[in-house]
Amino acid sequence: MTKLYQALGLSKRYGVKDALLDVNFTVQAGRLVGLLGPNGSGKTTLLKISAGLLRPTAGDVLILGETPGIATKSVTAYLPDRMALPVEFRVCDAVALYSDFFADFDKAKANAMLADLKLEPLQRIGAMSKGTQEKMQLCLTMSRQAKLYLLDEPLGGVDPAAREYIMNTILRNYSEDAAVVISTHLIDDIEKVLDEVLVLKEGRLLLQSGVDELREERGQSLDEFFRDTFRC
Amino acid sequence: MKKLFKFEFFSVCRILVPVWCGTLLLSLLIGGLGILSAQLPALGESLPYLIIYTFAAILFIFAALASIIASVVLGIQRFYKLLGDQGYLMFSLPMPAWKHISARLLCACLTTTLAVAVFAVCGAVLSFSSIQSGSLITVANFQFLAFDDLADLLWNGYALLIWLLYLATAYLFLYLCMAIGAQWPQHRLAASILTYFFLIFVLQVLMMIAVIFVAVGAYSTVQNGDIALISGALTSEQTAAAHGLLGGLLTVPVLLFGAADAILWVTTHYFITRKLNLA
Repeated sequence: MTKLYQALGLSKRYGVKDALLDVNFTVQAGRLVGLLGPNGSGKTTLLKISAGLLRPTAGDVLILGETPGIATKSVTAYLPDRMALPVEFRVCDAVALYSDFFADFDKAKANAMLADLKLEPLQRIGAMSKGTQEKMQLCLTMSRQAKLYLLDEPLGGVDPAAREYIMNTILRNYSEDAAVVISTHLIDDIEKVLDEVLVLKEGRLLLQSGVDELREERGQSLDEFFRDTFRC
Repeated sequence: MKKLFKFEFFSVCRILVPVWCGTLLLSLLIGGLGILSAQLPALGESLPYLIIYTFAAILFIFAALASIIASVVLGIQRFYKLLGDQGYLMFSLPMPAWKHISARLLCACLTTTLAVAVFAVCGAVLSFSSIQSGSLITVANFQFLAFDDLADLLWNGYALLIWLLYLATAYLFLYLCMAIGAQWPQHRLAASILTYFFLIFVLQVLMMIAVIFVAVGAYSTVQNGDIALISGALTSEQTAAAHGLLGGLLTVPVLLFGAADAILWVTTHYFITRKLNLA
């Protein structure tokens, strides 16, 4: 299977604090991977480095054998944990932006998904609720035919119905030769769809395992494992 | 690069064009009122007319200032937002960072120049209303646009070049301050402002040192007895040399601004590639 996404001795230091320390993993194509860990464990830092928004202090991230740059950005769909679209934009402007800059963007799919959300093309992003903005941003991200999807907290801050919609959108729209990495705290919602997990603790990779293997080995669900491991 | 510039330009013009149009309309209104008062002196002295004229004039002044200030503020704000939440999208686009700087810089310089041009057009419109004859447009009023000879064209081209280089230097300096300020994502605004004042202070010290050197050099020139250059009693060879010196001096601002732009560009690029740290 293709080694689609790798971290090799990856470290990132902010001043005296190690956000990531010697992280090593490989993600194959076609896998749905959960990136789990408590707050401050380095999940967002890992995704930002992978998306080319941050430079590592040491080590490398490889996406299809290349370090983050223009080539990897054209095959990586990144969903940040915040609203990155200009709020003065209308829906049609956001679609046009993605269509102009991403060659793999499927405009028809995006318009269909946005119509499901009952969003009008001339509606301003700033006038939408937070949940709707997040759903819209997710739809645009998942409308790309990317090789790697990096989704940072796509389920955070939205109601359970919206979380179900988001999960269904992710599952319906990623291609089987792609990999999806989802960082989240809401393990219950995501456990049943994950193939693998990467668990970070204080910047280090605690565990990389298949979800089924983990359940068999530990005799616990992923949620129970998480609660036990990161009990305060 | 073309797509990015187009995206930037349309995003900015969406806000600025209505302001520019409002300013132009107000200048047309004031110009029209001026012509009306020239044609009907009795109306021109009436209280309602004076109130409307004064109100329109005040609005125009605010609108004219707003159109220039808005273009500068937007030029700064677009880059500031790039280093904030919008950077999560923009820096994930498959294009090099220098294109982001270029697109925003070009857009900022162009829209500021257009704002000044709108201001100039408003001035021309207002000047028409002061024509005693009351005629709206005559050929004479467009004289300021005419190029009598090649020298005129070259001087205007040179002035435009200096203006654009100066604008680029000003914006790149602010971009650098913001790029340095972004190293402290939690206090980005304060850090950017402090960086601005710090760099201004450093530049003022350097400028003072440079002025001292130039003054000492000029004093030495006088002391060495090149009195003819100062008194104006020049031979033909000295006149040719003076022209050459003048030509050389004219290239100095171009070279200085060009060098400043290059240094600012490289440094800003370094910070938003090697040291990018979005909040």
